[in-house]
Order: sequence, then C-alpha cells, then structure tokens
Amino acid sequence: MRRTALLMTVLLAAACGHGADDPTAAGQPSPTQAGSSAALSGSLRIQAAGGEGELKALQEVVAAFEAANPRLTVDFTGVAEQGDHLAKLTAGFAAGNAPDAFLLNYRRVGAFLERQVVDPVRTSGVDVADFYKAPVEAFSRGGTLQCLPQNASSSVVYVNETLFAKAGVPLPSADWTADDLLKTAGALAAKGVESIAFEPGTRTVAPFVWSAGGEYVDSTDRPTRITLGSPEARSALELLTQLQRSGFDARQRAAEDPQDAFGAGHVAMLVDSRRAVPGLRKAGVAFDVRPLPKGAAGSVSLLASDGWCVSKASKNLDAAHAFAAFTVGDGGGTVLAESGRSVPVSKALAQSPAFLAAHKAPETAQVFLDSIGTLRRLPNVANQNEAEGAADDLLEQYFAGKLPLAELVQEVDRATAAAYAG
Amino acid sequence: MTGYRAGLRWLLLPWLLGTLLLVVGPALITAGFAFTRYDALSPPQLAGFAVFRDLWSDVEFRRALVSTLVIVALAVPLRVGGGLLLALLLHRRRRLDAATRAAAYAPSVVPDVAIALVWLWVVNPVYGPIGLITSAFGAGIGAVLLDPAGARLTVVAISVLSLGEGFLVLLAARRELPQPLYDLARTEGAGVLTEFRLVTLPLLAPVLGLLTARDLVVSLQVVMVPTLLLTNGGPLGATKTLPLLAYERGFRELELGDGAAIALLLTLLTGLVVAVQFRLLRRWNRAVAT
Repeated sequence: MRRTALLMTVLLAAACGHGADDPTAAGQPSPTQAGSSAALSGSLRIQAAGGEGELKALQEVVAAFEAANPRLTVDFTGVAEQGDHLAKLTAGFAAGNAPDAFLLNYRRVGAFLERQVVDPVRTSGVDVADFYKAPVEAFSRGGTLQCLPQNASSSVVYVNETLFAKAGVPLPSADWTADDLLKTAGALAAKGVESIAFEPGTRTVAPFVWSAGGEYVDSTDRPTRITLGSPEARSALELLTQLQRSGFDARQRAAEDPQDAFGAGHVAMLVDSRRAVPGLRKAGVAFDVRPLPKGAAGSVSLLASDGWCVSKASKNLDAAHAFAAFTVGDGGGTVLAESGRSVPVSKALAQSPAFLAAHKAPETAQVFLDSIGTLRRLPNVANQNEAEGAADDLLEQYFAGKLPLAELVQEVDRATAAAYAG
Repeated sequence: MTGYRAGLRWLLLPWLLGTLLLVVGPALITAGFAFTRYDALSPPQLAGFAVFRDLWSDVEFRRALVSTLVIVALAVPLRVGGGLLLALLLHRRRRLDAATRAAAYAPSVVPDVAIALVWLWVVNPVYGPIGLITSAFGAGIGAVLLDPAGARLTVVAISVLSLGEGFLVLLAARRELPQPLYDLARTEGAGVLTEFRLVTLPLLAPVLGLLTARDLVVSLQVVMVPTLLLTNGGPLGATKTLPLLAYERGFRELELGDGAAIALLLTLLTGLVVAVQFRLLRRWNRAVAT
C-alpha cells in the first residue's frame, strides 16, 4: 500500500515536473527584428485551424517563409475544427510540447493569456499603426498587444445574384434596413426561392442585437452573462425568427450546412463572415456581399479576427515572432489576401489589389473594409468559449422551435452566468 | 513444462511492459490529477476531495451522469441481447449464413469517423433514407439530432450496430453447447422458448455475464468519437456522456483536473456496476443449480 502511494507520488511529481519549468528560461527576446530573415535557423512548429482554403493559403505562407529563411525548417499542422485545435494545443502545453506559434481567434485566446503562456508580440518591424484598431484591441491585455492579429473580418450578407435575377427581385442597396431585409426575404419566398440562411448562434445573433440597439454581453471587459432579455435583443431574435420562416429553418439546416446551401445555389442570402469566400469561389456561384442591414442603432457588425500567438516556452522565439510578422507583412499577408479568406489587418494591404481584386468575387469587397468602422467585438476572457457554447446550444433549440423566447432568455442568463463564473 | 511456462512468461513480457507504460502508468497519473486543479498551462494545485464536491454541485456533470446511465441502460441490453439473438439465429452451418455473419460483424470494423458520416446521412431529414421514405408517405422527419430523445436514440443505435465482437463470442459459445441436451429437451416436448429458458440461457449465462460486464465498459467508448462528430454532446447535453465531458473539460476547457476526476469517477462507477452485476449473476446461478 505504501509502495503504491509512493509510486503514485513519483508519477505525479514526474507528470507535474514540466509545469514547474521556468517559462522564460527557454529564451529571452533578442534584438532580432521581427520579420528579419538574417539569422533565423533551426526548426519551428506552427499550428492553425481553418477550412480547406485557409489551410492551403497558410501552407503557401509557410512555404514562402521557408524560402525566405533557407536555414529554417517549418513544421505546419493544420486542424479542421477549432475544438480539435484547442484540444491539440492543450495536450501540447500539458506535455511541454506546445507549438512555437499558433493561430487563435480572439474569443478563444483569453485562457492562454490569463495563464501567461504567450510571449507578447514583438512589434519592432511590424507597422501596428497601420493596423485596423478593432483587432488590435481584441488581442491586447493591459494596453499591450499579446498576439499579432492576422485579419479583421466582419459579418456581412452574401447575395446570390443568379437567384435574385431569376426571382426578379432587385439586389439590396448598401444602406438597407432590417425592414428592407424582411421585405426582400418575403419577395424571394413569394417567388419560391429560399430567402436566407444563417447559423443559429452567437455569430449571427450578436450583431443583430447590437444593430437593434441592445447589448449581447453585459460587459465586454468583465462579462458576467449573455443578455437576451432586453426589448432590443428580443426584437432582434424575433426578426431572425421571421427571416427563418421564409428561409432555411432548423430542419433544412440539419440537412445542409448554410454555407454549402448558399454555394449550391439553394438559398439566396447568407449571413457569414469573410471565411465563406474561398468556398464560394470554388463552388462557382455568382455572389456579392452587402453590409448587415441597419437597425435602430445603425449597421453594427461582429469582429472576426484570428491572431498569431507565440508560446513563451518556444525554443526558437526569434523565428516564431518573425513568422507571425511575416504573415501580416507584404510576403505572407499578400498570399493570404489573395486567397480570399482574410480581410488583411493592415490597411495598406487591405486597400491593395491583392484584396480588392475586381476580377474575383465578391465584386464589392470594399463592403468588408467599410464594415470595419461598424465593428464591435465579443469579450476575450478565459471562459468566453464556454459561455458562447452554452448560449449557442440554447439558441439552436430556440431557432428549432423547441424553446420559447422567455425560457431562452432565462436559460441563457443562467447557463452563461455559470460559464463566466468558471 | 517449467521451461515451456517460463517461455510463455517471456512472451507475455512485452504485453505487460506495454500495459504498464501505456495503461497503468497513465491511469495512476490521471488518478493523481483527479485531486488537483490543473489547467495544463500552469503547475497543478492539490485540491483533494474539493474537486469531487464541486463536480457534484455542477449541473453539467449531473446531466452527463444521467445521460450516461440512460444510454448505458438502453445500449447494453440491446447490444448483448442483439448479439445473442444473432448468434442463435446464425449458429447453424447453412448456405448464406457465412455472408450474414460477416454482415452482422462488419459494422464493428468500420472506423468511427466513417460511422459518424454514415449516420449523419441516415438521419438527414431531407436527403437521408429515413427522411426520403417517410416523405414518400407524406410524413417526413424533423431534425433528429436537434431533439434530445432523437439524438440519444441515434447514439444508442450506433452502439448497438457495433455488436460484432459480442456476437462472435456468443456464436462460438452457442456452437460449443452439447447437442444431446437439446435432443433430450425436445424428447421431453420442450418448445423453442422452453429450450432457450432451460438449456441455452443457463449454459450461456457465464458468457453473457462476461459480455455484459465488458459492454458496460466499452459501450460508452465505442460511441464517443461518433457522438463527438455527430452531436458534440448536444442537444442540451442529451448525448454528453461522462467520457465526452471528461474530454471536453480536459482538452477543450483547460480543466485537466476536472477531466481526470470525471475519468476516475467513471472507472469507479463502472467497477461498482460490474461488481453488482456479478453478484446478481452468482446468486442466479446458485438458484438455477438448486
């Protein structure tokens, strides 16, 4: 018995040992300028999650970075699902084998920042002043930029030009309102066209609540709950419910992913961020984009932004920071902008032909840049992922008609308060 | 003979080493982590039984415990009963039976991801076979995976279809049962049901007991990956079983201490259920013998 206890103690101590390592011992910031390729050598492990188009673009960026740094080998791991990406990162950190740099959405980064395992980004060599403000704020803590934002996307409405033309319904204007959206959806439905599809979760609901003049979370910096009880939030939910009646309902969403349905020409409008573009280009559908319609508080969109974080325990900090800088600079940033997946975080790159290429859909890519001025963000605290997950489960039930509005409001309040409290 | 036995022990050595290194060691470490607050990013902090107290007051844990018990209560009898039924139907050597046996075993060798994809299609309300057939009769189905009961039944169905290993064991066991006993029962005028109750069931009871114990352990494991891909534990936690919650807490929510505690509780719970089951089986055996 004593021997068993001793064995357990030894094994536990061995397993805990790595955590006691001094994270700063692995390397101190060197004066090497980020992005400089002069003295980079050794190996680098990079991990990111994304769709097929995004991962392909990132592989091209890695190849370009390797070409610019011939003495450096980069091992890139692409993961399809965000959840698996997080699981792999956690396992990596637990085993003392985390990647040198990893790409994370600002809504998922909080846990890593709070545990101080991220080496704050080195801004020398990176023109952060040229970056859009919203993503920089989203990846900052205590006034310090922690991870290097790579993109600054927003939620928009994709429109299928062919289906609109077939139904004889005019394409909406850029300054349309929520009423216009309802009328457009009704006109399309009257012609037998499925009007609109959206994901029944935070990414859709939050901007509609904000546009109606409400708050989705009680505080961006110190959130305690997701709030859907205000009249504005209720009116936003009712608007989306009405839209669902003339468009994709829960049964159709269960049969076909909204983005796939739009790409296949089964639905005329889609609420999504820039991430849909590579897939829609590949599908060959004739599409364009419009900003989210104006509500009582104007048109407000949701920031979707991923950033490169560098592990404090990286044994090649210089190269990891240089890689992060490369992805937003002229080299990597241009590749990502041309892929269609990303709205560059750098204003100069966003205004360049690489992003605004007129020959590639969407024709009015400027909509993404105009929307940046209307962006709001969700919290970047440690438990944001769990709070959103809890709210999304309930919203899915609400949009499936299985949860009345009053119950949704109560349950979201209870579940997200518990999630934020940890 | 001694040399032969010593040789066997040497043959066993790699397996023992592998088990110690890959199963016993990690299990002991996990048991240790169960008493800590550990987020994988910073060193674990000893918390003792407070971890378990907190889990007990955690709504999500209680919901997962209920989901686990419901799914096990449905899946295990169906898996063992289904395996037994197939074994009894297919134990005779007849034409086409080999193909039927292969068909019964086949789902057990299909990879988890493929099973999840197949079931996504099966329960697809518009393009899936059930949706198409019911629509042809003017009925149709809704979003099965958005309904807690529908999602749970889907998980149970996935578990039941992968009953191949149990079926094979029961098939072999049934073929070993002495034919004279059946001849005697028939001479005495026993029908099929009496024959099953008085001959087959008592003789197969030890195997059935072992398979039930095994199924209590594996029925949750075989559905974990398909469930993760199909429902991700939803809707509203209806398919979030304890293994899935342990994975989610440990690797998605950076609460490895909680994940380890859930794994330890699951192990203890399984052990308890298996112990109770063996006790009942022993009592039943004694009753049959007398």
